[in-house]
Parts: sequence; C-alpha cells; structure tokens
Amino acid sequence: MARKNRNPVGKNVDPEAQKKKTRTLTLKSSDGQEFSISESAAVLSIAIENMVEDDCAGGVIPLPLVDGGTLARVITYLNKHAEDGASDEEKRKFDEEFVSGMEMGVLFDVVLAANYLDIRGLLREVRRRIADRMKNKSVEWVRKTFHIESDFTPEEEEQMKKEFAWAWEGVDSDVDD
Amino acid sequence: MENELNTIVAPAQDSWPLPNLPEEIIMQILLRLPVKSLLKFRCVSQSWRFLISSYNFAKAHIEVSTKNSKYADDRLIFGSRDLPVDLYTCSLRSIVEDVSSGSIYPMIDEISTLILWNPTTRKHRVLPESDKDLNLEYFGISIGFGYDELNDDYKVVELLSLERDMNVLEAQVKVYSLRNDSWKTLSNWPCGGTIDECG
Repeated sequence: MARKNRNPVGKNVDPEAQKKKTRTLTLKSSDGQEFSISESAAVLSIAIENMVEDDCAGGVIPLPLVDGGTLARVITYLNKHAEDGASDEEKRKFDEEFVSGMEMGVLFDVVLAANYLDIRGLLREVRRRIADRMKNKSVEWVRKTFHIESDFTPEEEEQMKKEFAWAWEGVDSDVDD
Repeated sequence: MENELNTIVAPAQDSWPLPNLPEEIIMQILLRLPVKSLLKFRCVSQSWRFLISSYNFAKAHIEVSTKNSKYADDRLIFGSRDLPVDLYTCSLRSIVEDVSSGSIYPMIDEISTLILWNPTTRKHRVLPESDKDLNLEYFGISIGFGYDELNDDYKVVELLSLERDMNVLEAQVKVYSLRNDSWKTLSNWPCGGTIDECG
C-alpha cells in the first residue's frame, strides 16, 4: 500500500510493510479453490484489509461470493498493483489490457467481486469498461443484459424515441464484441 | 465461453444470462455513459427513465464527466453583440465538439435575440427580451453567461452602456435566470466605466 512508497530504499524500511510482503494469506473461493497471495497485495482490497486487521483471517480467508475463475483474475490485478517498482504508467497500461479482453459476463463477475471486496481502482476500471461496451448498444440489448422488462407501451416508447431521434443514430449490432 | 461464470446471483453455464447487478453498480455504470446513450436508454424501463431524468443523477453525471473532460473549465463564455460572436473562454469549435460536458451555451444572432443552446441534448430556449428602454441610445451591449453554483441556476448577464444627457455614461445590468425564465434589472449599478473589460 501507500506505506511502502513512503520508504523507497534504504535504512528506513518500515518493518511492518516488509512483513506484509513476505507474509502470505490464502483466499478461498466459493467453489473451494484456494489461492496464495502476499498480504501486501491482498490488503489492496479494503474488505480483506479489514478482515486482516480484525484478525479474523486466521490463515484462510473464505470469500463465498467470488468464484474461482473470477478470484484468479482479481488476484492477477492485485499482484500487479502491489508490485514493487511498477510505475503508474505501467499500471495504467496493465489496467487497460486487463479489462479489454473480457467478455461482458466476465466484466459483470469482476465488477461484483471488486464491489464486494472493495477494490476501488478495479471497480472504476471495470465500470468504465462496461459503460464503454454498452454505449452504442440497442435498448433491447441493454434490457436483455440487465434482465429488465420494458414497462412502456409501444406508443410511449415511440414517442420517447421521436423526441431524441438522433440519439438512435449509430447503434451497434446486438452481438457482444 | 466461461464455464466458470457461475456466480451466486445467477448461476449460469453459458454467457447468458449474466448475473444481476445491484442498483448502485448500475447507476455508477450509467454515470459513465455519454448523454447520447442516456437519452436512448431512458427507453429501457420506467425506473431507468426516472433515474436518468432525475436531478441528482444529472448533477452527479456532470461531476463525473467534467472530471474526465479536458473542457472542464469551459464554464463561462463572454461575447458582445457589437463584435463578431467572440467567445471568451474557448473556441466555438470546441463547443460544437464537446458533447460530454452537459453545459449550456449562449448563442447570439443578428437580430438581438438571445438563444441558450445545450449542445449535449440539442435543445434550445429562446430568451424573452430584456426590457430595454427603446428611447435610449445603447451603444454597447455585452453578454455574459455562467453557472450560479449557489442557486444552481444558469444565468445570462447583459451589460448595457448608454449615453444620457450628452456625455454622461451610464451602465445598466440585467440578469436572466434560466430557472425563473425571467430578467431582473440590478439597481444601483455604479456609473460609467470600462464595460468592455468586464468579464
């Protein structure tokens, strides 16, 4: 976390930060998969940090709301952001590539996990990515993706469409990219 | 794809259906959409329309988009009717291209009608005439436009300079409030001076 940045090199290394780097935690997914992660990476999640601080970690931290596949992705993100010497520019590039290949379903899983684990940077990145993917989609695609049924009459819908007809220009195909 | 896509909310073997997202996350995603998409997605459902049209959402949306926009400071524009339309803080081009800031811009046409134009929603409003005394000779009219944060209102300021009794210079200031759709004349404005430099 921020603490290690305050002590770049040299004598004044924070012993607590050092300990976090070498100490490992085990995260357990909803489907029982276990992952090892350094404490310094794990506590980039505010939720995990709180669990560690309250000392209810006890070695294995169960995360019943995150499945193994999603947790593996989240851990990749955390490791990168806890990496010593990774510049901001490097992290920014990593973030972009990290989300760019994800399909909508994966983005949804990751946004839920980032929200639950309270990982602000990841949450921001994924939200932006989802918005970017949906901005040119059709209304029907959005309804299907977000499980929403229309409660407008066809006339009402037509009327609203007429009001801002230009907003319907350039709608993508409904096939997820 | 993803066989691992079995979240608690909506266990699924395939990519569809996707898990349900809580409302808070959906709102946070919508806040990052351009206005064009939001106008389209008002049609998704009554509750989306209600959310997107709400005052708080609009305010939050401006906050989010001005943070990301390089036009974040283009809040005040200043021009004069006597000169070619000259905008003080940014070029006309950037206004036309800027569809993300949610701001409103004044346009001034040749017959002295003031029009407020919101390039984001492409809506406009023709302002009522401010009550000028037609018997007086106005020789300088300057228009300012800005956002009044205190009252959460957009305002147009009209500075009129006129000559009364030969050489006595007088200034009049009229303020239009978008919220009230009406003009107010500010009284007791100090006389004369360098109106051209008012910004």
